[in-house]
Amino acid sequence: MTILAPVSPLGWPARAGRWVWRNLFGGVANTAVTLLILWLLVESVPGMVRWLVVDALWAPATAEQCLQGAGACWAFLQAKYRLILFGPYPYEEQWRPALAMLLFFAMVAATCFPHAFRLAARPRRLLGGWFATVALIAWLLRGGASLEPVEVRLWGGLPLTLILSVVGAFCAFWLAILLALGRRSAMPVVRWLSVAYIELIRGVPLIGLLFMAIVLFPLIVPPGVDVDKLARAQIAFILFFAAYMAEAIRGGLQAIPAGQYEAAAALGLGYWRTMRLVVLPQALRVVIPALVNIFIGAFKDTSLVLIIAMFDLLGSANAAKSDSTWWGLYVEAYLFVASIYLVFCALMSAYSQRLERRLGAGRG
Amino acid sequence: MLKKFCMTAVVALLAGGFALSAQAASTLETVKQRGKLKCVVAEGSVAIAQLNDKGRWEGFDVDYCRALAAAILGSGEAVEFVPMGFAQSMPAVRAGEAEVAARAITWTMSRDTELGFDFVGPTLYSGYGFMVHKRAGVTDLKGLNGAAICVLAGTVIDSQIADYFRPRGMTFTPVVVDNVTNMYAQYEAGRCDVVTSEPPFLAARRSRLRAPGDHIILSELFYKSHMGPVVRDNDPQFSGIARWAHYALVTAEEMGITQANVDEMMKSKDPAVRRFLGVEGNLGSKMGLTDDFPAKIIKAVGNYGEVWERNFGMASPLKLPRGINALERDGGLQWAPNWR
Repeated sequence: MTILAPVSPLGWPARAGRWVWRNLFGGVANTAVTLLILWLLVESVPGMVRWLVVDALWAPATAEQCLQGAGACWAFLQAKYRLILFGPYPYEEQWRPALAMLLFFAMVAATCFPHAFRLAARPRRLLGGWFATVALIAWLLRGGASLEPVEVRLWGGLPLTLILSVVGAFCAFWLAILLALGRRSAMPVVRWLSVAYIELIRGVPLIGLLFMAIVLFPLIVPPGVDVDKLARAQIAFILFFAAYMAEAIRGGLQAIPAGQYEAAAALGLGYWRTMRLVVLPQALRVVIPALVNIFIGAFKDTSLVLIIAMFDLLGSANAAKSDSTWWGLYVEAYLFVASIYLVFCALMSAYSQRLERRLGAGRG
Repeated sequence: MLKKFCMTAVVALLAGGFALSAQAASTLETVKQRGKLKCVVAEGSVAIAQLNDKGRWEGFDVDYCRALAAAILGSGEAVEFVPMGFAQSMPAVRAGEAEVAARAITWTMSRDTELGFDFVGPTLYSGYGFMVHKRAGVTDLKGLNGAAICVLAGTVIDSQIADYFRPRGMTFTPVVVDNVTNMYAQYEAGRCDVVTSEPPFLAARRSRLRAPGDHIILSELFYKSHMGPVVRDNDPQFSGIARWAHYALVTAEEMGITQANVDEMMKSKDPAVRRFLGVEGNLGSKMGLTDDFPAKIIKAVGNYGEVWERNFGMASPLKLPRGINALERDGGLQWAPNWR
């Protein structure tokens, strides 16, 4: 039987009015909050619009004009946006990281919305697509074979932030599974090693780990051994996030009823096959929201590489503000970077909510 | 089996480590083999080391790196810039992560002796002064008693101020800020009464404040700070090269040799110029370089005066006068020993 929406005898203005009245002015507290928010909007929006649009200064404006003016200095961003987005990557070659990022975003979209790309029941094709994309991205960034080679130390900006967080989260995920299993293992040595690792890493701030990787590492290895700064920072990130992810995954493992283990044993499955076929698929599904949450944190935490003088998104924004031509301007650069972070984090969190809803629906 | 494998791996690793440390070649050889000079620079410091719109390194210390690279490898582009914070820069040179750190390091006794570095120059003579809000009514250092002073985190400036204030029975409140941009923002917002930096930077910065006329720069300096690049002091040959790369810049200015006229000057009849540019004699090859290394330096970055003009002087947004960094014959402190 279909339920028909009740048809209101009133027209839409009256209905809208009633909605507003009920939802925004129902009760004293509601009314107070509504009025407070209205007041805040009236106070802030006109000023913001004036700063962002009306008084803003565009391209031919100089730093002096900007600093005397009352609005945002978009001229500064117009001169610096490529530096902020790509860091010290050679200027003429910046189409390469741009293209690499587009490829990456396309693959992410295809993975997140497989139905729209007709990939729903074709995991092989998706996996193949990822391998090809990663190879292509590596070639675009590094160069070689008809492209000008670009050293890793020149990578920067948004691509660097994405590499650190995505590669970091991906590798950390596999390490985390092993650690979570190790922590619940019946073998005492394995268990204690996993516990020690997780507790040690969680007890150290990320910044300390990064400093270790950058400052201490060259003192420990013999002179002449040269490991890339990006690789060192990347390893520090992997080690750090693995510990956090491991704890999230352990939560998932503990949520699996004992009956599942027993059923797997009754079927004659060994440890690894039990985990791979029965336990982990269920456990990981439970912890997807938690993992996405950690990933959002990881994405923002990559900006800490700034303190080891790497030009990630925030680092290159800092570099942009210390150019003598534009000396004294910085708000616009930070606003630009903040909005990039905001867009990425909002998209990720929206997607994780979607996942949560879907999983919840499947359970009911 | 596994045990055997592990043992082999450990032994191989150790052997490899010893072999590598035993091979430690001279710094000059290392640079020549790599084909690039590794030079530590500030990760973003106005006019000292900054990335331009196109992501290319520019600045006073950057030009020194290019000059040294040109001296050793013949090209000012043969540099690998290693951006680093101040605290990490000297340990990095110590650990061999880079050959030289050019990031406005103040020449101090302990850095020169105890920490084991050789200083080049000073390539930049400077000191610290104060800028104050005019409404504070301060005209000299004595008037600063009880002031809130903005200082940069991680520097020794607050202890220098304390050293100056305490014997005079004066007090101050340090307002610690994490970076230069923030420091001037805090100062302009009135969260501190006083901001301290090198006077030329104060002057340049004042021109970018909202009301430049509302701020005065006190004429007295409370702390001298003469800066230069540093290299490890365990390789005299490389220290010599690093020093004479700077002297080549200064000598070129003394002789009037510029980026534009260097090719012409190679044909000069003046024996001093011919000796300097390596047309005659073999001063360069005795150092392990080519005889014409000064010519390479000048082709890469110009002479000291040109480097100054480009980064600090009239050709730059800072428009600073040469001041004490003028040549000695013009009443400044920059000079070079005789080139022979």
